[in-house]
Amino acid sequence: MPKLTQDRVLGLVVLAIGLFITFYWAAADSETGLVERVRGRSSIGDALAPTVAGTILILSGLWLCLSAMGERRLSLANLTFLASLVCALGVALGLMRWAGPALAELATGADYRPLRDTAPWKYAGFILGGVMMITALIYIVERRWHWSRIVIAVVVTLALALFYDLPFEDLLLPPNGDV
Amino acid sequence: MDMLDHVWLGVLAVFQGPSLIEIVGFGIPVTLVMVAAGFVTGVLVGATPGLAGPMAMAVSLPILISVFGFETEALLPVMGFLIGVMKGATIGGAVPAILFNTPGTPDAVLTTIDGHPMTRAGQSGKALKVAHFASVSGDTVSDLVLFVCAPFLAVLVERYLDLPEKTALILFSLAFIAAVVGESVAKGMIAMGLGMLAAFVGTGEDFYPRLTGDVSWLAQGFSITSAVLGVLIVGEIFRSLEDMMRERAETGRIARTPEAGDSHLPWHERRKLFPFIANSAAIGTLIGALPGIGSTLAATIGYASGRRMHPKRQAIGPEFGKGAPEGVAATEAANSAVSGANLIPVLSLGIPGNAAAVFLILATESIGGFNPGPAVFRIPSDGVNPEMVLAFGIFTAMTCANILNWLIGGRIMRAMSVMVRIPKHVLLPCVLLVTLTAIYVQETSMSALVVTLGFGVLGYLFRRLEISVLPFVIAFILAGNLESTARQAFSATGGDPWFLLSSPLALVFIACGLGIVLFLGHSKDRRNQNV
Repeated sequence: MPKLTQDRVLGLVVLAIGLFITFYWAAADSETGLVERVRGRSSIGDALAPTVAGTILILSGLWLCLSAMGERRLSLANLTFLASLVCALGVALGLMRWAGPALAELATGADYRPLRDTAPWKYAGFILGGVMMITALIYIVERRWHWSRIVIAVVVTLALALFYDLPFEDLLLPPNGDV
Repeated sequence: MDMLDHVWLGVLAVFQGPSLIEIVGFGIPVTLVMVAAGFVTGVLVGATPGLAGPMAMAVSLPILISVFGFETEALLPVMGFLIGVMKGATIGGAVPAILFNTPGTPDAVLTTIDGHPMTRAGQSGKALKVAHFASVSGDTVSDLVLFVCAPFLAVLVERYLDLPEKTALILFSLAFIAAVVGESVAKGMIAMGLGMLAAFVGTGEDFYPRLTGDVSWLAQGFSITSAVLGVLIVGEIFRSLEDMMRERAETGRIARTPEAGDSHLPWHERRKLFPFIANSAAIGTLIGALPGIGSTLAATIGYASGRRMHPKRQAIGPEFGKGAPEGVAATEAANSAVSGANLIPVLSLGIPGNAAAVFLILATESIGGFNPGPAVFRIPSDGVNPEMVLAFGIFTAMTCANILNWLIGGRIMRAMSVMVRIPKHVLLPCVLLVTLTAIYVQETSMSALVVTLGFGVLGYLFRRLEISVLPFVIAFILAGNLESTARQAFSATGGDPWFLLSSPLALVFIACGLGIVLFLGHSKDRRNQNV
């Protein structure tokens, strides 16, 4: 029996995705089928293109299963790193999205929307989230906190906020475009 | 108007365009200023370990669009800046490789083989001069080939390719890129299939947005900026951060060797470099004209070919691998020659061949008024083809960037060597924030940032599983075009399901695509199993 290598597992996953798309999802989640006939004329329906993509995935998944190499490429350490990165970025984006409205609510009791074009509120979320993002990622690599890294993060984020906000009136910093 | 009239109008569009500044009463055209600014930015970015031209192009595109707007007049200044970045980053990449043995890009690894030993021998100045001379020579040759071949190829495509043939050509290009990039054809095809699938989400012709599962924010599909930047830039940042985390224990301070030896590159030595540069420039141009193969293979073949030539000629320095200026010249000429030739499929067929070309396509898609493809070089029966004028304006901007590169590129390159001192693990998180901010100002939606990070995770997993990201990106960009061309071809042939096999030329493209997938798939699988 062939050995279940990492490449074979990847091939099987891709094969399963391809089968799901080709035989279920493409047709179930599109308005028109593979080929449509309207007023005597044939035209390609919306389901055909995803079905072609799914078929490519089926063929390539099968091919990978048959030709897979035994090397181990993705380790548990890689996934742990990825999880820590996603957590850090999630917290940073959360701060970016919610810190401005929360601070405005606490300090003024007002809704954020009328204040979103007023300093310092319009910078609050971006700067807190940006500093968090830079320092957290540096910490993941260095495994230690250092004040110099926080200073770099503050300077870079502040410079970026001013670079986009001062000369360009129509550009909005995160999250001011969708609050 | 014939083609020569369009060439002249393209030149005038650059030199008689709006002026940005005035020097002693003469207005300096905005496109020229942007080419120069892009060039300096490109060298700066290329000289910074961990950064690359596409990153700078990604970050600067929304800023450029904010400054110049979405009108067609914005195209030349924006493209001029991006072309400047592309060319500057190509020569800048040699700086960290030569000075500190830290190649910023895969092809710069080969520059370190001879470039860094020259630095250790106190000849860093000479090594940088050789790299600049070879790089700019290779780039110039490649650009000249582009100027001649792109219009010629486009005219041929327009004359002989109808809708079924164009559909088959796009399929052939996708198959070709999936087959030649990376270690496994099966993995290249997986990347291609996933890229197509991602592009089909939320699009289509019907009122209901397909493949969205009724999720409202998916109804518009994935934005091209989020998908491309996520997979190409964010995924690379994630991988680099992890690599640095693992290498942290081993890395120390990089010692600098003082400049002690001969740093001059006299004319008689430049003449001895010519055969190596010419050979590598031809290799780079040929490889660059084929979509997806990229500069790393060109640099590898150029270096190997130069190594074979070396014993037969009177050498300037030691043998290859021990600090030979010819080794630096062979590598740099080959990888620089790729950049111009890579635009041949972009401008003549609308098919991007590498990451830098992807950003040029993104710029044209964002601004509008210019659709890269064979129609660009269509000579009108009456009047002017504005797209052809813009294409020749772009060629003029490239020529200006080359002249700038010849005149001051070497000096800028040597001045930027200070950038290699910035720690990469501090720089990359800052680049991530700049990238995400650039995406936000374009998309104005936090969900765009989440989608970008999602594609970044996908790009990271691709890299760890040794799946090339280029087939994904190019399939994502070409999928919409493929579907619409296929729809038109199907309707035009009266609903013939065999429209792809009905014309001999389309049949040839399909057969070539299948042939290259099967042939390279078989040979790569055998090689992998032997390894």
